[in-house]
Amino acid sequence: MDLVFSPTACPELELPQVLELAADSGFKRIQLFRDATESSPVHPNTSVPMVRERIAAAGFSLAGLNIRNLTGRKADSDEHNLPYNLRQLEWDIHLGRALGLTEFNLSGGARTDEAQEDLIEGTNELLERLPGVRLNLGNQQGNCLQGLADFQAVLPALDERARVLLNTGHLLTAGEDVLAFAEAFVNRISVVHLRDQQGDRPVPFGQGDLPFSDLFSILKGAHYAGDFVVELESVNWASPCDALSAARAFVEEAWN
Amino acid sequence: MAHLTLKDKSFFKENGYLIKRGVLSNAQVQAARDALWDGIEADRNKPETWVQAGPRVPCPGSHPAIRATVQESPVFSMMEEMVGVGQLNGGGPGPHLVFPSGDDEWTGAKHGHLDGYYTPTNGVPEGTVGYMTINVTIYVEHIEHRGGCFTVFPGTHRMAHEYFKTHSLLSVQGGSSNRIWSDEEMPSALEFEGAPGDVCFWHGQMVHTGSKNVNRNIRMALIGRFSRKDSNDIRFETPDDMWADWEGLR
Repeated sequence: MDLVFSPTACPELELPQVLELAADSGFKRIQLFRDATESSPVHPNTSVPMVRERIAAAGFSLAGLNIRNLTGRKADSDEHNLPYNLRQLEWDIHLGRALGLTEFNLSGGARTDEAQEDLIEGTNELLERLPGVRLNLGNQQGNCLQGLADFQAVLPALDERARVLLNTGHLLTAGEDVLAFAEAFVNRISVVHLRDQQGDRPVPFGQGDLPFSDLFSILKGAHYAGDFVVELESVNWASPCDALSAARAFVEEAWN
Repeated sequence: MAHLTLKDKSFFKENGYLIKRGVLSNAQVQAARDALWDGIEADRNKPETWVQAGPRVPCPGSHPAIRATVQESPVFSMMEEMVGVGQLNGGGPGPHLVFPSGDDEWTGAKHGHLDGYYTPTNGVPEGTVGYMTINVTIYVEHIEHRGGCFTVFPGTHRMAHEYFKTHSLLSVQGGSSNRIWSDEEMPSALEFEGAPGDVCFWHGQMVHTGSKNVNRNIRMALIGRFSRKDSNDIRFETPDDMWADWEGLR
């Protein structure tokens, strides 16, 4: 089992500090986000080669990149323009390729029929244009990929290289059944983002509603070999390092 | 047959641009000029109607006479002599006209921009940067000082390469050079003055600008932007040797 550090625990930290915190918490692998974190590989004072060198120098490997969502719309005007949005995503994917990645995490747009159609068309178009690439579609609260029914509607229309990113936090927030979701797509799940919550409030791993043991049983039954990304979003515990170490230890014990 | 000398190549490496005179034949120039005039909303024989006329793009770059200025002249081969034979994507230039302003107020540029950057109106998707390896500006009319000359800032290709070793490509809002360098840091602008058929090659990360045209002639320029076929594999790289991917300039 590979455990991966997520900068969602420390969105305000730049990459060198994130790597330090991740190392102190016992991690060796990290994922990055294109947006919403200061450790982004497009931080103004960072070039892509610098990101590569920093990760390597810290003894880490990069597990994934969360790129912009496939919304079918222009971000600056909200105008419907799928080709424009796909050019943005393609640029993000090439950025990730320069970091050595071949698979990328993303979600869809609003909960509309148009966004769902764009997601299908756009995903297939990107995969056709980029033969060596895999896209992990993640569930997200309020998104056209929010839960089980959304994925059941979309996945049959997608290329096999479109995989599933199971995000426990967003499933819990949306009131979705995590285990039913995992069972439905277990053979297509390629990465799991783990966050424990009570309702929509993140809590230390093991203290919330996430049925770790049952989820892991489902995944083990399908010989799941992908990453587990430890997400401590909105951490407000006294020591992020201790919280991360505890989360890592909890997951390792629960899996083993 | 080689079109460029070692001195030409050395000049391009040092300065980021290279001007070659009389590259196009008279027939090619005339055909391109005729194509442009077909779309200009002014009387070709009455210069007083050229003032503030339009449009800036009077015919598409796909027009055979426009495309021929690159693909049926030595221009593309010259670029390949620098970048490498078979390394560049094809394509052609597009018209970029600057009409006489009708006044006499003109000032030289202190700053310019890098191409490929997002603005709300230029069609570049937000949060991306276009990648160009080498670009070319072709004149099909006499263009003199103060006549809307295409203007470069020699050496800024090397400055940009150094800058992007430690900064994101996205860190330069709008590609404006004044977001990176002060007036004092910028080299002096160089106006490309020329005759029909003259050509200016310029590095894809060269700061450049247009300028106001207070002369009589229309600034009839064709500008083409060309990228390596493997640009998606190298667009984020800043190798120690900035010419590592330029087979003809190593």
